[in-house]
Amino acid sequence: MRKNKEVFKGLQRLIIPQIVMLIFILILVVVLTGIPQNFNISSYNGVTTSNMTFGEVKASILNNFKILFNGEAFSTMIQGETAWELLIRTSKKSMTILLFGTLLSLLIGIPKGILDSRKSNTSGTVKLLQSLIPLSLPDVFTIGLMQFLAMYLYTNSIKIFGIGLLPFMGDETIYHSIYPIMAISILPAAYISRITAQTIEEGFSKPYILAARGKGCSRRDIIINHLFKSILFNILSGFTMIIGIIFSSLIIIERLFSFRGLGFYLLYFYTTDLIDPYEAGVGFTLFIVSLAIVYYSILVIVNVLKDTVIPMKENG
Amino acid sequence: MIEVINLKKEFHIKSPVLRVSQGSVKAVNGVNFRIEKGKTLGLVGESGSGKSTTGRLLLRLLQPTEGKIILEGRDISSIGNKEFRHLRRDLQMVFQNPYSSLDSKMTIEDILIQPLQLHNIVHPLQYKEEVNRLLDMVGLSKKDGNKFPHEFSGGQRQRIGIARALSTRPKFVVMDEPVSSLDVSVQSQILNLVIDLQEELDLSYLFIAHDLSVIRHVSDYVAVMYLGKIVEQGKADRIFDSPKHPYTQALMSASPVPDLNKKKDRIRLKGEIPGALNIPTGCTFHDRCDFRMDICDKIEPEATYLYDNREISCHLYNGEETI
Repeated sequence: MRKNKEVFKGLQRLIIPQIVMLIFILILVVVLTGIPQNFNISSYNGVTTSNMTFGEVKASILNNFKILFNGEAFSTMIQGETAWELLIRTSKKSMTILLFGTLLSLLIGIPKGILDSRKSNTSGTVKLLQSLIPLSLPDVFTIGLMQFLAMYLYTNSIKIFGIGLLPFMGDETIYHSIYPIMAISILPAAYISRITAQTIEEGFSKPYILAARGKGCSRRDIIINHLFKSILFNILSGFTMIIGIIFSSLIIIERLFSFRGLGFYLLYFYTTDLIDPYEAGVGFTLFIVSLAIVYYSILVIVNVLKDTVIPMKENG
Repeated sequence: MIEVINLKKEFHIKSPVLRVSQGSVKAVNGVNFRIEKGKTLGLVGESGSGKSTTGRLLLRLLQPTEGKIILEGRDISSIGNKEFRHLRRDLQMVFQNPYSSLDSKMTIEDILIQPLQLHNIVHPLQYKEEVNRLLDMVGLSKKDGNKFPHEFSGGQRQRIGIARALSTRPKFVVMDEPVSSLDVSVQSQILNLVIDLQEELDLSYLFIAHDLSVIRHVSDYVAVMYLGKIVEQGKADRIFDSPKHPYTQALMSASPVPDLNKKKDRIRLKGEIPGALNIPTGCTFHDRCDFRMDICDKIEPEATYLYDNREISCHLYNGEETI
């Protein structure tokens, strides 16, 4: 009973600051998105003027809070459907990319890291560069290259994975999500492979690994039985970074691949003239708030796991 | 049982950026010895003399640069890693640091079961029974199997390390300073356990230590190492009672005697042990030796066998009282 209380207290200590931080960020987001899109400040002959009064901007921000709290934002019609319906439809698409992208990055990153850690004089540097180059390039460039590859394969009718010809744009079928999933997994996979390789390299210098070799364990036995937990813990520790990479890539990927998810609509609301500015503003606020909540919730879960499960496991 | 012939290990130093060779360290430089079944060879020397490297070479935890390791008539120095893994059943090691040589994420039971699985020592249904037998053998309780390493004291952890080494029922065990990180009160318990187990299981040991009293307590034979070479080896009582090599004499004189009436003339060595990157020419000990002769820095002394089966590498004994 006492132990449960202590665990509950510990969780409170971990979660409450994160919730406070989330509320602060959400307030900031709603304030910023509440500023009218046509608000402008100009300076001429040393005189600075704005096209709106402070009262008008304040009223717009307060209205932004109001429509969110009374639910009006969710029922606002955007291109023939309510903002809520649009949010759910696009969220499903984005979550598919996020979830499968993360899984794919783990599936590629961990084995790649294991291979990278097996250094030989000739191929060690090449293997290292394979992971470091994607990490050092701007994500727009890496994702752009992926799209070029997708276009090249499509225009030359090159079938892959035995599935057939994969469409390089759109979101109508499940096949349309394959390239975006692959594109979103490149950077996290490179990051995961670095973490994995580093954990293995560090691990092999530890005395208990030498002892395991002495027992007769093969390299595979050592990685599976002695180092795999450490690899997973280190990946979990670095997951806040990975989530950051994935979410920032999401908007670029959805835009470049015309995959109409949350990220696509965020940019669309901000740039389009086809939707009424008020509706676009409401949509933008709703989508960015949702994205912030999802991002922060994942972050909280990862941080709680990192701060509770890892120390417990490491101490047996 | 096990014989080592001209064993050498050279580590090449490369620059961190361009990977250009910057020289090499001769950690072990032509070591020869033999350990009979059921006997212990104590390997003694200063830090950096190559004792632990020799132990690791014997178990192929490091690949020898040159030389032969003959186990029961078979040269095991050049066989492939995969094949050698099966041989590890016969060759085990107890490590110096009982804190870091146990995987903190595994229970003691898992640590002990792993070698049983790897070498098919017993049927899987007998794992539990075998773990209990091993724990009992090293003086731990059956309940300890479910605990993690951090729940034990240093001495208990070293007992687990010994149980792990013995789990494969080996013929030869390298004891790499098994008591150096333990309290003096615990050291004697572990040493007695090591000796008892040797008698019980007819094990051969290579016992590495820098504590001479420990070496004297456990060893049948002693080899003294200096800068990767064995400078003197022979029966333990003969080496301790009348050391011949100037380095051995200095080493023995530094060892405290538990007798207030017995006074020892301490031989103080000049300077520090040279770095392995700059090994002196000729006799490696010549620049610290009080009996230095002209020949010492020019010609490397060959091993000479004295009348009491002692092997010594020193120009002072060239052509004298050999057998």
